[in-house]
Amino acid sequence: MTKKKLDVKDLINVGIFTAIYYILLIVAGFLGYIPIFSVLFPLVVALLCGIPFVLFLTRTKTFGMITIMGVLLGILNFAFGQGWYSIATGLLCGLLADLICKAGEYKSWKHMVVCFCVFSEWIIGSMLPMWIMKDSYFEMVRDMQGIAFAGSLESLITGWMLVLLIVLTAVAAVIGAYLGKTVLKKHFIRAGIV
Amino acid sequence: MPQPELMKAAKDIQLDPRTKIYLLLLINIVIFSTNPSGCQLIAKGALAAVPFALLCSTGMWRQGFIYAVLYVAGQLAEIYLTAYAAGAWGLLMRFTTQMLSRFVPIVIMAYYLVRTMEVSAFIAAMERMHVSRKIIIPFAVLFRFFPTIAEESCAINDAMRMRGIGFRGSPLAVLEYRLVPLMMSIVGIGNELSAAAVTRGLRITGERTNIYKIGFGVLDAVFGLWATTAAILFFIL
Repeated sequence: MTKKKLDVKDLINVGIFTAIYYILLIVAGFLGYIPIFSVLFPLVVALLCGIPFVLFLTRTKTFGMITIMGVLLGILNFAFGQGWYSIATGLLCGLLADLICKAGEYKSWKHMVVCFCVFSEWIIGSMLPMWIMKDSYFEMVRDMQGIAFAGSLESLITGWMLVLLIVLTAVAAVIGAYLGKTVLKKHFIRAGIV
Repeated sequence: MPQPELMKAAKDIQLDPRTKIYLLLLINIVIFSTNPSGCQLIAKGALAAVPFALLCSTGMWRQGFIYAVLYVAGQLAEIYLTAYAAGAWGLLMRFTTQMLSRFVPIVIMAYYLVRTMEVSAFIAAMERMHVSRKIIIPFAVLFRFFPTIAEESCAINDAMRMRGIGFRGSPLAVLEYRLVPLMMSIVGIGNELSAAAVTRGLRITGERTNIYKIGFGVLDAVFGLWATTAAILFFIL
């Protein structure tokens, strides 16, 4: 059943799950100092965050919650120095994911999987400067991390890599969602949390 | 409006929450996302000194001292040592100095923010800025939950150690033994929090009064000007 208006309880839920999501994102972020992982970072996030996100979706019954989560994550990313692109992608992906879930009336599992796929793409916003401002970005990386690191990273940044990244993130999100569902069945339903 | 004497007076030196957020953003933009050289280092240092002064002003001397040592050491090493380092050693070296001179100021500023900012003061400040409640409430919960998550995860760590479950084993096992209990307790705490918030009348729309007095004072002006000047100098130089 879909409710019409956002409740205070909904908003608190959004806050809690955004916190868990962001902590996992930071954990995944530490992998970013290995060159290959700084590109594959969205995959790790999508895999890890499947569990909290699926649990979050079981408590989502109102349009707007997923959108707010996307925006909040974007603002957090901006506040921790990842650029403002994340806010835009957070809003966009959150809104799209919200619409998809709404089409499934917030209970269809298929819609939820697609929703998580779309939602997971927001994190690519923090990496967009690599493509959009390639030259100045790599100048900075070269100064910061040395030529070896920048070189191995730069060779990975091509147009088709972005497409590949989007596809791979979606695949990782599907795996993450099913992982989340398994955990949900095994632990949370038994514990009476859902 | 509540009586003025009922309002909480500033115990220590207290900045307006909006000033704190502004300082965090400024430090973030200047220190984190740029790569200074020459004279810019002075402006960067002036900005990096802001969290130090703030920590000292609230009596967190120990944290302030540790921060100062870490930052100065990291910055000096970045200037003088990384040029000579090469190969894997150089990568490690750059990584460490980058963390110290770039990341630590933001982390310390965020630490100060979370430690000194009361949630209701934050809500009052945001409402004064006419931010939508749909953003304020989740954000306030977020602030409250970062320390809670750290606490809970420490407790789970202890419990797992007592049962002899370490970090070894497959990543899936780590997820199952760390993440699942963590989420269970967080969800439980969240439910209690929503019940408490509803009891306290968070559902009521309309203008709310607040026990915290929100407003800009002399110190806000001092720190605001200090940081803004440093940031402007940074981009001019």
